[in-house]
Amino acid sequence: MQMATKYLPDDDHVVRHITPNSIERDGDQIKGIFPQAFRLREEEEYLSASWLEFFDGTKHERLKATRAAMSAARVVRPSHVLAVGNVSAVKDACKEFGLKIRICHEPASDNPNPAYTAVRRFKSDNDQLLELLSSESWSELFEAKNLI
Amino acid sequence: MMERVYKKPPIVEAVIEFVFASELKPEVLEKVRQKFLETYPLSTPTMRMDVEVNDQGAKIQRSLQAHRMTTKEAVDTAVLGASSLALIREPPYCGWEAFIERTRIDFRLLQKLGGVREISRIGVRFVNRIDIPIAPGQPLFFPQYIGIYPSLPDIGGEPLNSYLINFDQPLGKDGCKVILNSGTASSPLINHASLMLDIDVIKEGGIPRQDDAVWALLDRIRSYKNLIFEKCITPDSRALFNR
Amino acid sequence: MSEILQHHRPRAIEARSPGFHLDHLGVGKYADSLQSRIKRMRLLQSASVAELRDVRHGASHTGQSLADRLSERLVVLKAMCSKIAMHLHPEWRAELFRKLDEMLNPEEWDDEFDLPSEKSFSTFLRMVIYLHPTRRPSIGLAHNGNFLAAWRDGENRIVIECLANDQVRWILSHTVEGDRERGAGETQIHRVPEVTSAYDPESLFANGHKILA
Repeated sequence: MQMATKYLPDDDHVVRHITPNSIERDGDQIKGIFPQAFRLREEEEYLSASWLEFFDGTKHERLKATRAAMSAARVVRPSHVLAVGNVSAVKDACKEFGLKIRICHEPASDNPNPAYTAVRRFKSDNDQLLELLSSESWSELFEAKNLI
Repeated sequence: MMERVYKKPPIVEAVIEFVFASELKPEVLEKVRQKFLETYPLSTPTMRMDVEVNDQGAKIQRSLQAHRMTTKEAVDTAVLGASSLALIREPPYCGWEAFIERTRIDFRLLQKLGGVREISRIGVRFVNRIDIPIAPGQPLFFPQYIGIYPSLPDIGGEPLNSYLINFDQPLGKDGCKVILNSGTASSPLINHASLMLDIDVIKEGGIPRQDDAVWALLDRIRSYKNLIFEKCITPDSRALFNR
Repeated sequence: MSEILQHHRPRAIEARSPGFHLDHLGVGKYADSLQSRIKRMRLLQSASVAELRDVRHGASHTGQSLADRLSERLVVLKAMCSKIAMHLHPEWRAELFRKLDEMLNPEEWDDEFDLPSEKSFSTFLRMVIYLHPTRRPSIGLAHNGNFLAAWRDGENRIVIECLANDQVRWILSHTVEGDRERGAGETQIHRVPEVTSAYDPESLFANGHKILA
């Protein structure tokens, strides 16, 4: 059952779960994430994320809670990364490429992640947008191994 | 002849093959295969298909020909049949000493489990691919890179699209003969043309029974193969192998 | 002069096909294809009649475990490397193999991804040899199984997604006189230097680390 949705405030942050295939590494050092981490898969209508400020506490505490919440819904391994982006910056980046996205908190009774968020009206066919997101607007990275 | 060592040997397949005068029973072959799995954990049966077509339709018969067994790095392969054993090395080539040592180990293991059998044929086959940088659309003057090529009458028309040469010649040494194939090949590299040089030196019959004599024969066969290789290539192709 | 051979556009690196190999005991794939050609030549048969060999051994992917599929794909990709291993620096080849091992580790595999594509990998290998960069790329995978390669110099980077048949999608971002600039496109490998030249990509590809011998 879908509960009431709300738009995330511009000052808040979205978090995307990034697996090793999408992590740009130089040896053991993480340098960034590949732009393709933001590409919608064929069956996807929107981009999946979590709302960082859904949880209380310091940033680190919120990130830990986000990782735990994501883990309830999918496998999040120590080798994975959480990518954090400011809502306003993400919206501005998409707007630069003609997209008026909606970042909506969409908890659902069948989704164990209470902070689940959907980035709607998003299209991923413009590689330059994906590059902008992955290298600037949605590019603050935190290793999951440090959030256990 | 002093052996040449190349920085980038053009070898794409190095093969040492033994064919035996008798066959292993299926259960013995399977016992050997199980032991070989310790070194070559990826095993695929190679099937033979015989197709018979008559006015009643087509009949297909499948039978096991050999087991093709590979290491996880996909570079070393053993092909184990009821009456044969072949060891194959793909690039990067490890050098003759390492290759023959591996062959000795596997051959002795086969003998230990399957019994000592008369060898009816022994051979060393190296398939080489000469990768030549060339701009698209530019014709390649292949005698510049290889000493074996077709001698054609001038029939006019466009340059060749491809060629393939095959010959079989007794060497007059150790009762060996060479089966040589050479021709054009698909190049895996951009803006390159490739020429294949496949040299197979074999001895059929009269193979010594003593262990030391077999390995000494293989070393000599390899030296014949090397001599043929060096005579088939040119200074320009040598330069490519040392780039 | 009939000795002169006309060069045609090269093809992709062919992946090894596990399965049947008719009548060719004790030989590898190259020797196998040569012998088939000779056989056809001698029997004066057309290729389609003579090649009753592209039949896979009975085991189909249906019912094959994920671990088996990953393992099989890993072997195929490594076998593709061997076709051009003489053109790869041994250290780079070892690093590439480590990366493939990690990527196809069943314990780390992400089900949301398609298996790494052989056709994409062929493009990747040919690209790396053609571009001959002295800096090693970071390697990733897109959800559709296409290989990704990234070269970076500080905040500047180029990411190349390898499609089939030497086709690539490139995305480049760099800073010029304090301004951020981005470009993207799709082209053939041999055109990459030309289409990206406006962005001066040389500093991205160049480093002291040699990746080729």
